[in-house]
This record gives sequence, C-alpha cells and structure tokens, in this order.
Amino acid sequence: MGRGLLKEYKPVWSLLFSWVFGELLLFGLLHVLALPMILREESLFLLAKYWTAGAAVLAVLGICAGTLMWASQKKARGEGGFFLEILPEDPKAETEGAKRTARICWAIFALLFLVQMVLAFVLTYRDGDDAFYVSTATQAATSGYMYRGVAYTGSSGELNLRYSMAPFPMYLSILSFLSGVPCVTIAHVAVPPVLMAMTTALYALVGRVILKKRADLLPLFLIFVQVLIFFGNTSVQTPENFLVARSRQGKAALANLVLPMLLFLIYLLLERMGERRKKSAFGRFPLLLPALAMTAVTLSACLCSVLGTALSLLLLGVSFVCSAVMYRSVRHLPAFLLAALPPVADALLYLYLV
Amino acid sequence: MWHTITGLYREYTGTGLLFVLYLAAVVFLFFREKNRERRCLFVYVPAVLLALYFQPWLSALFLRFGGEEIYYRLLWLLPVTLTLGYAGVMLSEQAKGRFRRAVPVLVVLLFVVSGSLIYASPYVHRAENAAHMPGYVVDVCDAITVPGREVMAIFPDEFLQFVRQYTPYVCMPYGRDVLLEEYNSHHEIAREMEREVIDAERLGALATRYVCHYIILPEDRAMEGSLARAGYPEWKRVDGYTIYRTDVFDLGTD
Repeated sequence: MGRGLLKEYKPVWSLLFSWVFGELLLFGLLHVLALPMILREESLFLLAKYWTAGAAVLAVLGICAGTLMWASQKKARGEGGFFLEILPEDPKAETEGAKRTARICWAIFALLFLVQMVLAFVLTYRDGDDAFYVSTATQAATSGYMYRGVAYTGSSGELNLRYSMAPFPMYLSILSFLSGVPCVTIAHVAVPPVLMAMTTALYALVGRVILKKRADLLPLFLIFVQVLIFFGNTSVQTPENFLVARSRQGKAALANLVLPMLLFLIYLLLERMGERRKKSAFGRFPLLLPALAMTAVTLSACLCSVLGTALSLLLLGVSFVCSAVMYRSVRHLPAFLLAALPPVADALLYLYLV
Repeated sequence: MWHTITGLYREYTGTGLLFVLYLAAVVFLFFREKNRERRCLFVYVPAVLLALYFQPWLSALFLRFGGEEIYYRLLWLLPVTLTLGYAGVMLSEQAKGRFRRAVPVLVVLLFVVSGSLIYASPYVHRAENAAHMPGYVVDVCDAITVPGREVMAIFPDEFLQFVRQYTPYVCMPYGRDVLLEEYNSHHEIAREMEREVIDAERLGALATRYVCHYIILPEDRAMEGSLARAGYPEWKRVDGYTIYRTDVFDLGTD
C-alpha cells in the first residue's frame, strides 16, 4: 500500500507509511473481528488468535505486493535505489547553506523527539478515564471476558453495548495476552511512546508530501510540529493533550493518527485526481488504492471511538463537497462512498443495538 | 444550544491565542497557497467544518447521540498543528535577508507563548514504577492480593481510579463512578467513607454485608469505635495506610 501510494518518494518514506498505515490496518482488522465476537460473548483469547492469524496474512500479502510493486517501478524507470529520491529537488535546496541549516534543524528535531520519548517513560499522566478503559482492558486480558461486568468495580453485569462498539481497549488486552506483560504496563508504558512516534512519523510523511521538492524544509516543519505538541495543552481537550495524557485511549489514536491519516489519504487521492494522464499502479483505476486505504482508515476510526464514525463521515463528506466544487468533478465520489461504508455500517449497527 | 456550542468552543481553545494563530495561518494560506489540494484541505475544508461546528442543528444531532460534553471533538477535524507548521515553514521560507534566520525562531516563540506546556500540567507525575501507578496503590494491592482468587476491598477515594487498572483480582463495592457527578452514583459505603469521623462499627457492618475482605484507611483517619469489634482487626500498615482484614470471611490464606 505504501509503495503504491508514495511511488515518487524514497522507499524509506513508503516504509514509514507502511508502519503507520499497517497499524491502522490492524486496528481495522481488530474491529471487524472483535465486534461480532463481543456480541456473541466469545473469549478474548480466541479473538487474539484470530487477530494474530489475520495480521500474519495481511503482513505476508503486504510484503509480497510491496516487493512486486517496488521491483516493477524500479524496472520501469531503470533507477530507484532504496535511498534515491525520484522527485527532482528544488535548486534552492541544494545550496551548501541550505544543507547546513537542514542538518542543524534535523539535530534540533531529533533532540525534541528524544525528549518526548524519554518523558513518555519517566512521567505519567493520571487521567480519570483510564479507570474505565484500562480497567476494561486489564479485566479482558486476564479473564478473557470482553465488556462483561462493571470495569470500575469488577462486579458482574450485562454486556456494556455502548462502549463495546468501539473496542480499542481490546487491542491493549491482546498485546498484553500475547506478550505476557501486564496490561497496565502495556497501556501506560508501551503504547504511549509508540503512538507518539507514529504520530511524528505521520507528520513527517505529510510534511514530506506537502513540501514536495523542498525536502530540506521538512526538519523545520517537524520542529514546529514538535513544539506545537509540547505546547498544545491549551485545554485538556486538544489532540496534543490527548496524545501525551491519554495515549492509551482510543480517542487519542483517533485524534492524532486516524483523522490526520484520513486527511493525508484524501490529499493523496486529490493529487491523483489532478494527475489524470499519469498511469497509476492500478492503471485505469488510479483512485482505487487511496480509496481502499481510506476505507481501512475509516474502519480503524470505528475501533477507536464511537464518535470516530461520525467524525470520519463528516470529514469525508465535507472534503468531498469542497473538492467536487474545486475540481468541478464528482468522479471521486465512488472512492468516498467506499470509504464511508464502514462508518455507515457501524452507525447503523449502533442505532440498531443501542 | 448556542451557549453550549460557544461554551465548548471557549473551553476547547483555552486562552484562544493558539487558535487565533491557526485562523491567521488559514487566512495566510488562503492568499499565498497556490496548490489546489493544499488549498482544499488546509483552507476550504476547515472553513466549512468550522462553520458547521457553529450550526445548532448539527450540535443538536451530536448531543442527541453522543452527549453534550463531547461535541468539542468535532474541532479535532481541524488540522491545527499541520496548518500552523506548514504556514510557519512557508513564512520562514519567504523571509529575506537578515530576517531569514529570525523568522523560524519568532514562529517557535509565538507557539510557545500562545500555548501551554503539557508537561507542566498538575496531572503529570514522575512515574514510580513499571505500571506507572502511584506507589501506594501498587504496594497495598500487592499486599492484599491472594493468589488464585479475587478479593473485595474498600478503598479511600485516591485509590479508586487506579486499583482496577493495576489488578483485576481486587474488586470494590463501588468504584470511580461515585466521584463522577454525571453518573449520580451514590453508594452507602462511599457515604460512610466521606464522613469526617467514620463510624467504625457501621462501616464494618456495611463491609460485611458487601462481603468485603479488606478495608483500607489512611493511618491518621479519624474513627469512632473499633473496626476489630465489627470483624475487621488491623492486619498491616503499608505506605501510610492501615489495612483491616476480615475475620469473618475465609480468604483461604491459612
């Protein structure tokens, strides 16, 4: 997927994309598997087995498809080494002064990122909602019961239907079950730095793509982003606050990974719309690959939060209308409709069940 | 409805400085950005989304299904960080002469001054252990856990948020929900625990009724009467807390 969508860029960028997108794909897979299993009162341990098998199949398919795509692209151009950029660089970026400035900026960014990672380990943010989400995950990881009983107390109870519609905590439970590490440690120590690193990777990807030929400006962009994350605590409700304070909750992943990734994919899709004459990996269907990627991302939005369905639908709807007016075309409508399918199905199921 | 929308907006934006910068960045991009895709996603889509946010019908729809307190999440759709970062880069790139190096520094300073450092939040604490839980929670829970079974314990308020995160083997007659106004959850043991001076025998009787194996209280907690007489003699002292253990229910530890 990464190689297909970012073929003009160094493979290292598509690998970075694959890492972030692959995680979201795993979220989507988990949602598809978890929802029926929770409703049928199946065990988390069984879900973990199915999810692991599904993840392995997706990984093998992804590696095969990516390798084939890379090989065919390399053959087609007769170039394209692993570190060779296909996009021509801006002459301004090639001056010695610009290169030195870029190196200094990379060093500052690396330092900020390192500080963020270290702080994720040595500091902890005590958010009250963890009492529900992490407790739900802890309970499932040890007993296998998903959304049965009252997470706050441990007493038995009916299936918590509303919260089970967005079973992100089961992701923590599965990681705990598979690794043998206590769920509380997975939630508070392992997941936060990974989510932060993925968010940074996503910003780097977006920055690389929107800055186009001025790749030398990317580190400056990333410094600005890191500073905004550090100082984004204008209220306890901003995505930046969620990233640091509630990184083990699905809402944090929704705000910092899923929605920005959806926006990024819409951007790539719109770029392809503007390049009608260029051939894509899918020949006559250049929008198919971004559309499939968008669908996987909206599916992952459903896992993260019940509100993820509404937010992803709203973003799709508004983006479609704005782009249709700008491009005076609706030929991307099928792509948006395809991407809207998971949240629409989820919303209908929610209305039916809750 | 309008008060709710604007109230949530004000709460979300805090001082509003960073959001003003964001709006300025959108206006800047509106005039300077030529690329169609970026104009669409950084200018037009956010403008429509922001306009939608202030529509009472949309908020009514969200409030009906999601609840009042989460409507602000619609503002998550605005790519604030991306737009500010990108506009900052464009501004820096367009600076000429001696301002070339000063502009990025000024942009960073503007972000710092307009925002608020998350690590300075009062909710941020130094991690005390591998679970990132308060040390007293870990120590008390480890002390009362019995291998192979669940135990029921009554805790002071400061434990409620953490106990079930740390271990599913310690259950409680009431949890963090009693602290949340929205749940309007009252529990008779919680009411007893809230009293300035605890009636030990009443608390013991309630603990027995709810099949509690332990009662945990701060060492200096004011108490009238004796928990031992109610079937909960003092068992251990851990991190400033006294653990009272039942002599009524069999824990299977002997």
